[in-house]
Amino acid sequence: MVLTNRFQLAIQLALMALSAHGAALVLAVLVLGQEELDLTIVQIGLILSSAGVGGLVVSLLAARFSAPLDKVNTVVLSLLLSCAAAGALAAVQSFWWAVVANGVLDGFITAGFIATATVRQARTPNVIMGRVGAASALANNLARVVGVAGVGVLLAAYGGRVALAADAALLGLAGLGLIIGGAAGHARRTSGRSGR
Amino acid sequence: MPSARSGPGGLGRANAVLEAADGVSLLAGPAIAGVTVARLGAAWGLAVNAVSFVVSGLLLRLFCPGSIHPHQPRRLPRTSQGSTPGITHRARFGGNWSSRCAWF
Repeated sequence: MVLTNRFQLAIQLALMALSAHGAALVLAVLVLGQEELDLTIVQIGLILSSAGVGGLVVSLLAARFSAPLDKVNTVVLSLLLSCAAAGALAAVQSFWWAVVANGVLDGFITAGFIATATVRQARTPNVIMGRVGAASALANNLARVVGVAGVGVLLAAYGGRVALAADAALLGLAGLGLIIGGAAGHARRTSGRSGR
Repeated sequence: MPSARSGPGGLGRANAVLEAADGVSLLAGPAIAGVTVARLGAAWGLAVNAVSFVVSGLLLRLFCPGSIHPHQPRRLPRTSQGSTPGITHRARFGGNWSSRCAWF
């Protein structure tokens, strides 16, 4: 169903972009911090921890204001804002800006994960939920492998900033893919039929 | 997760809370591991990790219903000959149950 249903495919591609980003970010931040910002290991650890804080804050906010979470537009917005935040992280020149950019980036990424999962669960029949979830997990794990390998090649050839810029481009393309793929319109029609 | 939804926004709220729990464990896990390894050693760190899985299982048992499909037998049925089921029979029963149980 994931491959034959256009909406499921678009949502799955968005999830794969988010998964690839999650796997690749630690490597990219490590190289950016060590080789380009000349930071200590403790400072790099703080940058990575800021991601956890950003994600946690957004999760708690999302639990409080959950109404827009089952809308495809929320996924699109999260991806485009993540793209902007990853671009900002690629351009930072100081430690504190890196902490802020990574925290904000992970906040948007977390919002994307929550909204994507919610949108898919709300529109997938219960009887095939297990199979869709299993296929999705398989594809996400493959995306993680490809993401780490891809960012490794970029880091070796061009450095941390280019790898983060490529990450931003991937997230932006996933957002645009959801818009161009017509997933938002499909979801609105489905939602209208089911009276949600 | 879809079975956890209750009222408008319930599914999104459930996913958000799940993600928040994930975030807390991602922040707290390395900190607890660091303290445990520093105070007690790496072997105890792994032991605490192992115990955490047992606690997860017990919590799941405590808060989730024992049978999602009450109409399905919770005990393994005997074979048509009345003998104790073999490994093939057990595997087939498990596969059939898993494939029908949306929650699982």
